[in-house]
Amino acid sequence: MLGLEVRDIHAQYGTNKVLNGLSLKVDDGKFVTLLGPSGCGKTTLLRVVAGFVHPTKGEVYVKEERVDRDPPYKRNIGLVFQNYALFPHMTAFDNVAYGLKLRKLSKSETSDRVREALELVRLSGYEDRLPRQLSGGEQQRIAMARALVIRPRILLLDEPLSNLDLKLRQHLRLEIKSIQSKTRLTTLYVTHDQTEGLVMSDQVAVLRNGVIQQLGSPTHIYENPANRFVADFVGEGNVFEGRFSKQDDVMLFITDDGLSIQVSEDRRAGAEEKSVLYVRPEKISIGKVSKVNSLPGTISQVVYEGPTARYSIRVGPSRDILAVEQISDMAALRSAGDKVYVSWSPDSSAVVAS
Amino acid sequence: MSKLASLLGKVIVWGTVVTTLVYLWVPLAVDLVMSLEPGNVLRFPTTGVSLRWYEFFFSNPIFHNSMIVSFTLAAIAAILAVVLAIPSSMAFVRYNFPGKGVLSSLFTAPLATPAVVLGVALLYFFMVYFGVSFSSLVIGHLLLTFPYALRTITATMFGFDRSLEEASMSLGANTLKTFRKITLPIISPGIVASFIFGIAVSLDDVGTASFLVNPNTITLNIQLLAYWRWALDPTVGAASAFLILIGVALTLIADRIVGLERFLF
Amino acid sequence: MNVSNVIRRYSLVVFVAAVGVILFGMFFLVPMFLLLRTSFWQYAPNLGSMRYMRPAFTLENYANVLTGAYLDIDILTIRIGLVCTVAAVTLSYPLAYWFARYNGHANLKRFVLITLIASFLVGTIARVFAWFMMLTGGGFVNALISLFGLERVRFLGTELAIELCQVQYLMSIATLSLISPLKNVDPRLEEASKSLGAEEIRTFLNVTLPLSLPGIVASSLLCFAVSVSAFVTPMVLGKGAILMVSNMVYTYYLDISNYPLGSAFAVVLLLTSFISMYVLEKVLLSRVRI
Repeated sequence: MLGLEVRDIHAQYGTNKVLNGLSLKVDDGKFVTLLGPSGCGKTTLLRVVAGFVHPTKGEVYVKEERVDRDPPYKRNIGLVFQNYALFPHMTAFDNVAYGLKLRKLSKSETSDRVREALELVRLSGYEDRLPRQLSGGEQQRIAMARALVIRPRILLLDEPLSNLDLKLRQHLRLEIKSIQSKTRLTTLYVTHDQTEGLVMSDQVAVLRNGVIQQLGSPTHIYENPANRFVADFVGEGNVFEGRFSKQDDVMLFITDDGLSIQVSEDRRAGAEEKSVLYVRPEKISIGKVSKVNSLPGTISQVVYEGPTARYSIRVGPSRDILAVEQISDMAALRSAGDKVYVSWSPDSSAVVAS
Repeated sequence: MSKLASLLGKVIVWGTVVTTLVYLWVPLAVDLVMSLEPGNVLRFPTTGVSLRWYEFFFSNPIFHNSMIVSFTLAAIAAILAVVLAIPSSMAFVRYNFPGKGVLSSLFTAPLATPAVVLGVALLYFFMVYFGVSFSSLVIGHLLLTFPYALRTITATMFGFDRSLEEASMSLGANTLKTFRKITLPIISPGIVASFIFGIAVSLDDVGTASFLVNPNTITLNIQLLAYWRWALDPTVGAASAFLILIGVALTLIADRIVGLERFLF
Repeated sequence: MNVSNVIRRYSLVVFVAAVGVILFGMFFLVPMFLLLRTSFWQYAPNLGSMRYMRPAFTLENYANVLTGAYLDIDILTIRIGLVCTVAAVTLSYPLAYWFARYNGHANLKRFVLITLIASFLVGTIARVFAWFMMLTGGGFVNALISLFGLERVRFLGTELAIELCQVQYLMSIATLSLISPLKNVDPRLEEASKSLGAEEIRTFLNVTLPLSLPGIVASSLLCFAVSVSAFVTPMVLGKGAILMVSNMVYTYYLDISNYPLGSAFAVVLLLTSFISMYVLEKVLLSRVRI
């Protein structure tokens, strides 16, 4: 069963067309992230599903029932906001119980379910606190409890962690994911943080200007980005423009600036003769020994990042290679000016449409 | 040199603060003191201490009746103003529609209209149509208080977080329920402030009411003025002391309930 | 399209429009228009009808209002308005500056705020009578004066009396409306100025004052409009000797029933207030904004 389906959604703000015929299918119980820069339409799409934005065209189905003609309060959705949106004049208990009271549950059942929800987000005992007495992370967990306690058909999260600091984000990401696995709720998650997208999702949809650039599992999107935009958004890498050429049974990619890169056969399949090759920095090995696909160069810049170091290595008059290495031992930290060889294996390159 | 100038500046500022506080409080304090004059003529210092004129003021039926008129009028005008201002300010803050600017200026025009002009215009209007009655007075005061209510509530609306309403709706509350359970409680300080403002403006008015009262419906202010013209006795001292105490009390109540920052223009 | 949302959205707008048309259209615009129309009619005391006037189109009412003895009253009204405005804004600016910048005892600030708002909420009548008692022959000020062995001064019936009372009221308005503009002058601009070498006074003159000028202008125009409309204050403290335009409106409408002349006075007063609040505001602010 499909947990969520949107068909041919057109939506605009004033005269600004944000979504131009976007379609998406999400299996029941799956966690899908909408990833993209500001203005790409991800929040708009979420709000279309929630019912706060009316598409000029298109349909929305939640658990295979059509909802786009229903107001938000009839859709039985769980919504978590970036700024938590906890009702400031109510205690945590009342906030979480709000949806239940509307559904006319008995007092005892309400308080049972609220307690259950607070346990799920690990905030039992916080019933009588007011939102202003809670930290950002705690507020967000109460917001989640409030959305989950009504047993919605779908969970929608709009950049819920953007207002929190790094450690808290890292921690809550995993909590959210674990709650989602337990409850098996279809979940649509909006973020501009690619790490969140990769860590939490079953599927990631990368959006740009209202169009889905690629939909796939985190690994697939990272290793085989469909185009330059996706490649650069979910990570970074070295870009080579040029053309394929078969020489002596070896598949080569000749770059426009004269480098000859060996690639595995399957890279050529389905690609244009003239293409763009993308190699992620962590796939570049730096060493003193010459291997396949190896280029001599000089380290021009070293950026120490704690667990890793980023190196810019000049291999040609207009070409720097970006490489990232783990630093397990300070002695392994290289210096600017070192002469090294960079190399990568033939199946480390991805072909991206330009 | 600049240190001297800086010091001078500080003296000026602090000096003004002190002078102002004195300037604003002394007349009110003097009024309270002089209202205790036991004799028939107002003088400072008083010849004694007596509540005689307070007794006179409170036991006198003409003042009694006019107080009832004033308070009733103020309550009705303030309530109506708030009831009309809430949906109006919601419309202004949330939506754009043709004529919004014009309507907005129109709704605040009474603020720029001298009270006397409003009174005169309404008097003639009601003489020609509908007849002059208590209702005319209510309408006049509604026009006076509505702009204040609108301004205060609009200020509150601007700061209101719409995502709270969305959260409520996502949890299953329809528009009306959301308004009742979420919006209204959260903007209630603004509503209370509007109400207080409205009462104060209505109670204070003399200019407009002067033209719309009749011998049966006379407001406290006008009654006091009329009385003062015939009999220059310390009753006005007691009455004005009473009004001062009410005004100060209202201010303190407003501060406690809604916080006075709401009244900054 | 979500039907209930559409209805809700339009019902609010329709409601606002209804308020606009009924309350303001019928009970504000129409009366104002009638007022204007009456100002062009002719006063006819011999007509015998209750309203003593004949529909016409004449400018004689305005001629009366703007010339001769009445011109003196117009000038006096404007003079009082200007004096009060200048005094009020000059006194209020330092106070507002202090309020916007002082970060010491919160209770002191609260006390000042209570003072300002209480001045507003006690009401005109209370204020006017309080000043009456301050300035009367046997009142507070004269008691102080005679303490120094000086002659008692007759305050009541002078412009000064009216101005003293008005300024107390205007100070609330002026201060409260100056606090926001002064708060909005980003303190970091002042810090930047100081870091570049300008001391307090120079920073104030070159940064704070110019940036708060729009606020000063708006506040002054508001004070002028309010002060020019004074009614009770001249009535009580002017003791019949000082009359302002509002008093003229009252006299001609209710004492003499000369509606056309009263209306002419009212229109002139209304225009003065409107021009001050709307027209002058736009003109001066556009020149003064950065």
